[in-house]
Amino acid sequence: MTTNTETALCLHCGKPAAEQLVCAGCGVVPRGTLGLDPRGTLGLDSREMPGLDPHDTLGLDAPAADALAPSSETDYFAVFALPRRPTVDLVDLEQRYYALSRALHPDLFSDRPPAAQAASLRKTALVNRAYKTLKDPVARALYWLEIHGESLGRDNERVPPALAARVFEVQEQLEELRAAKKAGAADAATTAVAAVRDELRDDLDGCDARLAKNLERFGNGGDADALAETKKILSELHYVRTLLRDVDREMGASWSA
Amino acid sequence: MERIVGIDLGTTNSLVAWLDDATPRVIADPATGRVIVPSVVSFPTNGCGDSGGPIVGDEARALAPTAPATTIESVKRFMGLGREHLSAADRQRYTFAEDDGRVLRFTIGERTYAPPEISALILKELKRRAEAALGGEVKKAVITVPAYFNDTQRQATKDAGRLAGLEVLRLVNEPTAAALAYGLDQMSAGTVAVYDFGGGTFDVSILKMERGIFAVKATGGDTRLGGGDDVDEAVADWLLAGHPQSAARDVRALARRAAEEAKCRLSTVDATEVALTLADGTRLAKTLTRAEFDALIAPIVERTLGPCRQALADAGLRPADVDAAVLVGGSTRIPLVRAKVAELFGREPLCSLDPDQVVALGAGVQAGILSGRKKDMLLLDVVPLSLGIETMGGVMTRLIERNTTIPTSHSETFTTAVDNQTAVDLHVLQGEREIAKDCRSLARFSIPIEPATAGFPRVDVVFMIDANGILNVTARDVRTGRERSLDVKPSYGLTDDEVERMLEESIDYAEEDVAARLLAESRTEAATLIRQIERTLGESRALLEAGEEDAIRAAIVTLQQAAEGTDYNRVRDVAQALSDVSTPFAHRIMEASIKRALEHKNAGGGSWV
Repeated sequence: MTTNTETALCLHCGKPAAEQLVCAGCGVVPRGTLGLDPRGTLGLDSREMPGLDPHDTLGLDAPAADALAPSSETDYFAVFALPRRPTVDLVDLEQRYYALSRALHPDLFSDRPPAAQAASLRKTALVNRAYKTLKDPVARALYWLEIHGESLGRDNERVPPALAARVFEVQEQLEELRAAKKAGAADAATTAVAAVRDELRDDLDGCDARLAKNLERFGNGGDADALAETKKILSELHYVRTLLRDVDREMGASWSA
Repeated sequence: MERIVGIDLGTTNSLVAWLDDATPRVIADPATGRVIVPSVVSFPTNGCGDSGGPIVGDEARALAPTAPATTIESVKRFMGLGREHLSAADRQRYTFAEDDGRVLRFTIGERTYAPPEISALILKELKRRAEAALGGEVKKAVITVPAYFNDTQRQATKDAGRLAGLEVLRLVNEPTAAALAYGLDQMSAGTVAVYDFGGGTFDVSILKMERGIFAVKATGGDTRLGGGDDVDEAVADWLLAGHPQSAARDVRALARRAAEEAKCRLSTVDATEVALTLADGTRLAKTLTRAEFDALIAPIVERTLGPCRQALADAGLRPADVDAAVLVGGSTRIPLVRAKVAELFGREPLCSLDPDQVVALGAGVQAGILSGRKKDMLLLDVVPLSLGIETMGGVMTRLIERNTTIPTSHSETFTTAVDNQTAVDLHVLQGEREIAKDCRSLARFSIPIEPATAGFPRVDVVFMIDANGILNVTARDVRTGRERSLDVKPSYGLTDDEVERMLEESIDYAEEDVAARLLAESRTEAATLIRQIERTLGESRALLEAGEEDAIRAAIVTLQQAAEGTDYNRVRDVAQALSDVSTPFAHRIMEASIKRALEHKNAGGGSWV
């Protein structure tokens, strides 16, 4: 489950499986390590359990979230009194977010009764979570799928074919950079990785543009094609972002080395 | 009006400020006129190995070179650490208790002190000053912490406040505080990078300002990198290179002081003599040029630039998107630091406010916001480090990503990996690494579950971070509804009992009757609660439901009667009952303000220029 046997990469983050059996994001329990500890640490989700869709446990509608905020409030669009649409005017959203923050933030309730302070904390946490989800096109698209009973499902567990070459290229360049750093001569390798990073950023911009276009299609009625395409783009976006994060991290380390 | 002060509890220096009308001011010692309290605590010995009463500030700093073993400098570097985090240099510099306690403790004479106890002594000195200058008791404070402080370090800072007799209303991130001070001073809107290089910590924050909202977009840093510690050490190493006593504690203390003085001179001259006279009368002198100094510290300055680039990347910005770069912290007086910041952001950085005072000024502004005296500004801060739990295979599973705006909450559902588990262990982690053991362990607790086949049980885990960035974790077995919740008490922090004991041991409280103090506190809390609720009743009468006001008023009368008695437990219980009966009313007020906010969303708020 955790490794793609063809490429021997972690399904989630694309790193070579030998280095990392599971990754934090997917957290799938590797078969080989089951039962090590009788009381056990936690395994994430039960992706392989029949009848249990892992993506219904993203946390948005989970019972525990309900305990924090009544379920009527967990519609993130409703939080901002916005219609449910997959596209959002970000400037307007930000203004709504600021207006709610000015009304609800715990800083404004420090001289209020404890019940008001607690309510302020809960509501502000919800507003912050809703804003974080809606302002980011990817998080919003995933949320959109979720409230419509859809999920990326297994699509997200395979390296998208369109990106397979890129994944290899990035891993290779990062390996070279690490080796060069050990040898104390990272300059050339750093330049090469910087070039890869620029390419990834272009990939990301490309995906963002495609996603925005698809979300428009969704908003205008949508169809099965738009859904499939959106899933495909989201899956690619997810990979590009993870790769970019790895590259940024490695670059950061080389900058400060 | 209640006085709330803002405190910059720095590695090298500490200051206290408050909001006087609309202007934040740092508070000077009425006796000496000085605003800076060096963050140094010295315990004079009486010759028998016992420590006398502690000395704080300038006098203690003067003692550091001659009494390095009984004088603690840079205690902030040790807040929230365990013994395994100590470096060889730390152990060379101070003696630590080698008992089996979890909490790191300095050994001084016959006694040991946890870092929050030392910090509390500095806070008490600031409190004393503020009370002398403002004329009246000061009980509440906002304290700044490096943005990159983790949960453990934040808790330790709150403990220090409590030990000093201060209720810490809010921990504010230092670069954010600086941005508040600058925002009040001159900026209206735009994106600002705050580069905060202090005596012992480095922070960078990217903020977006708009009409009184200060929204932090990203933050980064290094809590063990500073001008006082790393720069001075580098110069001291250079000065002592080849010297036979270069590792001796007293020699190093003298060399560090000479290094610090030379560093300050080199901000304005191109070359200076670094000299020291050892206890045996030998004199050591070398000339240090600006170029040599720059070469010595270049690697240290370079280490600050990685977090800057990372923060920009996290905020999704390029250097050119930043409208202003602001310099904070004494170490930004070093010309090489200024040059590197200018180079990175492609513009001359701003430093119109005193870099030593700007954080305290910002803390004063936040104190004003919390006391209700400043209503047109609001800080939206972020959590600096990701939070998560350990899952199967020793993996860190993040529930809350770094740079998420706080307060926030997130829940995730987990299951078991082994058949018939009777409990699951939750290991709460903080950090950016993928593997649990590379992250900071914050707490461990376990929740009992109904045994079942692996994969069937469902445990909901909710992380809630309050406006101080402090975490509460709740875990619930979905099937039984059994639930456990805790405020994360860090693995290297003080327990409530330890704080209580330290309070009892401290001289200030030793003579007081503890019961009398608890009664007085419960009465004050009751009076505050009644005042808050009466004000709310007056302002939002329209939202009351039939009979509700009578119920609330009755509860107020009961509380007033209880407060006249001497049973502090009863006062607390009745206060809780009053709080409970007013809860639905408070919720309605909240709903109404949400409605108002969205209706008037474009009207904006305050008189922001």
